[in-house]
Amino acid sequence: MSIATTRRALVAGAALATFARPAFAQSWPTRPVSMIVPWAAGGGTDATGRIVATLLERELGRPVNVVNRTGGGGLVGHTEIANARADGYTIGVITTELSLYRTTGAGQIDWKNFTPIALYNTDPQGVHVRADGPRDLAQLVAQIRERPGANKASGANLGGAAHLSLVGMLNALGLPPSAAPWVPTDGSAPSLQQLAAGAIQLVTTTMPEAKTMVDAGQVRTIAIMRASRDPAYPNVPTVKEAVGVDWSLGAWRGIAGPRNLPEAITTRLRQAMAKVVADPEFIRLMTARSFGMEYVDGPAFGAWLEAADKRFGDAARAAGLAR
Amino acid sequence: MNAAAGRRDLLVGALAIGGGLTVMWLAAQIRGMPGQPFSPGFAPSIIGGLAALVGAVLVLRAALGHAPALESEEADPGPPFRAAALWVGGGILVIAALFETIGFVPLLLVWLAGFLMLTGVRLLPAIAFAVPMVFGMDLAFTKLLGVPLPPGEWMIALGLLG
Amino acid sequence: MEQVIAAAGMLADLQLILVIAAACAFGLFVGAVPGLTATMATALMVPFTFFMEPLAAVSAIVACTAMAITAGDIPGCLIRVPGTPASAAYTDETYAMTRKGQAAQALGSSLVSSVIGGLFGAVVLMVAAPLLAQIALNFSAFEYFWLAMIGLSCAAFVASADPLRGILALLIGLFVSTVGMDAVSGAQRFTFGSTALTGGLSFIPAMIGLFAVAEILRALLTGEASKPFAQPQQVQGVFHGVGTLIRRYWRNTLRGSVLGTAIGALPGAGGDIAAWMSYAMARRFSKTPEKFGTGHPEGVIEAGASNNAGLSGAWIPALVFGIPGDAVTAIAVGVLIMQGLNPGPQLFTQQSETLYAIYMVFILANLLLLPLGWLAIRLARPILSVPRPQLMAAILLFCVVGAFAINNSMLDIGVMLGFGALGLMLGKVGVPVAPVILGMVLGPLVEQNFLAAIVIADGRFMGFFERPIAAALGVAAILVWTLPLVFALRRRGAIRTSAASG
Repeated sequence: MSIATTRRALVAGAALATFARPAFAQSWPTRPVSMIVPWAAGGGTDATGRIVATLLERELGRPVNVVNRTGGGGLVGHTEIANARADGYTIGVITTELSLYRTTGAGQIDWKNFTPIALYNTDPQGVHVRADGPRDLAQLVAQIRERPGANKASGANLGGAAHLSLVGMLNALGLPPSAAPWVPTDGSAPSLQQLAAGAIQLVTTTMPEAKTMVDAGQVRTIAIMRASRDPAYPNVPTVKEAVGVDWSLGAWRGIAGPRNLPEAITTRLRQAMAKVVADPEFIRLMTARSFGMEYVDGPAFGAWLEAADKRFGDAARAAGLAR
Repeated sequence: MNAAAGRRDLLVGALAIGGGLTVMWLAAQIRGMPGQPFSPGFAPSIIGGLAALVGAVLVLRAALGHAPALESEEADPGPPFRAAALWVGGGILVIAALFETIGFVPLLLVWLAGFLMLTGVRLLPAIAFAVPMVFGMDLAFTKLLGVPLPPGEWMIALGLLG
Repeated sequence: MEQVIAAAGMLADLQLILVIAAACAFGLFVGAVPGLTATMATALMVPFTFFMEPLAAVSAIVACTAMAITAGDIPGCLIRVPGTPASAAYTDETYAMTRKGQAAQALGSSLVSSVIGGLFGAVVLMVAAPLLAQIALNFSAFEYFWLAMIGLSCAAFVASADPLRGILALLIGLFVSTVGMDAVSGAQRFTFGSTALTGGLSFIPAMIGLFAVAEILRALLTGEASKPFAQPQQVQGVFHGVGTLIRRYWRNTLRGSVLGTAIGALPGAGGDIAAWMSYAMARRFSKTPEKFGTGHPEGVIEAGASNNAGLSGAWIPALVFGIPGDAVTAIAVGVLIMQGLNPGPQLFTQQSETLYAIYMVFILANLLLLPLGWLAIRLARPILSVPRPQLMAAILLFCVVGAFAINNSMLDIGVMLGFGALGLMLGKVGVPVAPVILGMVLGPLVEQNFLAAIVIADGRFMGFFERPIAAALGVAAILVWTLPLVFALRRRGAIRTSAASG
């Protein structure tokens, strides 16, 4: 992408840029908008992204096309959004991993490379065990303390948000990461499969990701990593309630454009997103898949992201995941 | 067990040994992650090692004269289109580099029309074929499927679109 | 029984039938365009399903994917652009048939065997889904690792003349699959500092390059491009002689259907391996293995049946546990949940009428494949009479669009060219290209499951044999890989002794 950017600068040049400027200042958007989703079709980000795109299309009056740019744990897609031309025709969904790239050394981008438009979803992480597994988190923790290393955990890749949520919790309990070794997979679905197959003992992942397996009676959620109980899961205790240590972590998704998006376009997008998240259709579709709805508008989303960076960074350093 | 088959096995085997060893060397430099029993370079070095091994067997087989005979190729039917082949390869490189800048429609029009002319089609029929194909494809993708093909920044800047 | 009748009643709805027909047409179009996949067709349909009734939404996806997968065989057969990694297993076989003037027979027999496989899978889905899903749920990293190792051995069978060169091609594919950011550790491998390469090399552009671009370059450089593309087509009707073939190879059809359903039901692995294993099985047990690779329908029939049976199989864990079998069912599970049809045992008890209606849509969609597939083949056949330069120009256009559209990445266009050059060179030295694709698809599966399994087993290799299914699969994998070697050595030994004594 960097090669393309340089070349673009050389070829397009100042003259063409002056042509281009008035063209979009008038009434953005005049052509279809691409919305980059940094994860594969079929996952949670793709699902929520398509919901937002469909409704955004109504507000903007132009097609909003979802473009899946996958790979590198979301890094490729995020980089693509950050490097896109700041003309409003390329926006994208940014996700939890963005708060981790710099700390874990996976990539060199963070929230400062983007123009935040709106946060639209947060989901708490949960601790899940087999249906016939430990009764509650206290019993699981006792098992882990008794035989360090015997209970295997999974949820996604090493150093990702799911891994961080486990290591952070172990850290809060005064346990080293090796007490429950992390089995790396490339997503929550294969991890839950390992759990159901009885190969591992616990999975940490967000609540909606585990939903179908919980509904199918194969998997049980024994704790939620949230400050207080989630109204959507009134029967699931928080980590604090279960074992008495403070630990909460969630996953988030939001809409953003590349840095330096023109003010007029950002405002237009923010207004459109404000309508999208209030749309009954949005609420219906998100509720159906149990995606948590949390809305934070543009500038406040920026501050929110800054705070998230610090929180995730601290947790990763405490857990020894920082490079 | 003809001589050509032996030479071919020798060549493929030598390339496989060279490639396999290169991969092993590159894989050895991949940094591992603390706490993992196998480094990320583990799989590539196994693959490289096996490739070198297969290469060695091929070389050995050629040396012993055990190379299986080749499938016979069809007799050479006509003069080759070297210029067209170069146009295809070079054209794909140009498209990959300038797809966003110049855009799908102009690039593909020139490329396809040029290709047709290099394979013996005259200018007018070449254009008559390329224009509906390229515009039809653009329309099908952008309008019907909602998968945008790059319109080209030059085209946008010149006000030809939008 | 009353559930079945109620379900049939749900299907007797004009609007629903129209939705199914439209979805079929859409799937047919997307699948038949070289480079566009069934996954893409499904993803593009999702926004429309938001505003549909639950049954219509699911029916649309079922119909669309069945159609797209089958239509994906058409460009593979006619112009050597495989539609899915699964169809790469037999692309060269059908393409060889086309060049011999048997395009109609190739397409007709793969269509009919696909329909049989699809129907078989649908029936299994109907009668045994909960049971099979329970078995599939026992597969952990160990079992997947061994299964993938068995899958890799197919490379030696798909390679026509020489297994050794097939394995070399497989190793190239395996190596290519390691390029990019390692999904497990996050380490950069062979990216040389490029962010674009972090995402790895996708197999769709690679497939287009290895098969289609390489073929065009070859035809241009050998001068074959001045000749008509294929021999005059012998058979007129699409289904002419297909009945005889299916009867002759009924064992293959059945075996392909069974294996396809069983392997397809394994989440995350199935669909892509099934067709390859079936093709390899067909060759292994064939009375005329030497005909494989020269345009012989036997393997195509078995793999075609397996391919579509696997499609239904993938729905088994999706419906019973909400675990998607592949990318398509992953999207489908999302649609099911959004429509309030949460997958899981309660779907079977509380919503059984809707469930039966979904099963019937499977059967309906597979039956619709016959007329619509016939139409598509009839429409596609004039392609063979297009003058060669124009045909090549059109293929090149589709190649560029197909390589780009999968990821919207310009890098992928370059990747396509790189693999085109690789395919040309491999062809020159007699190394088959299909195993490269197999390596690219199975590489991550082998590696990730190995790394996961070794952590679970605390680093002990014996842990790979401690679970019963894993032990059986492990022994099978080791036998599949070592037996041919033992036989080869013994044969060579026998030749030498007989030469010495004689």
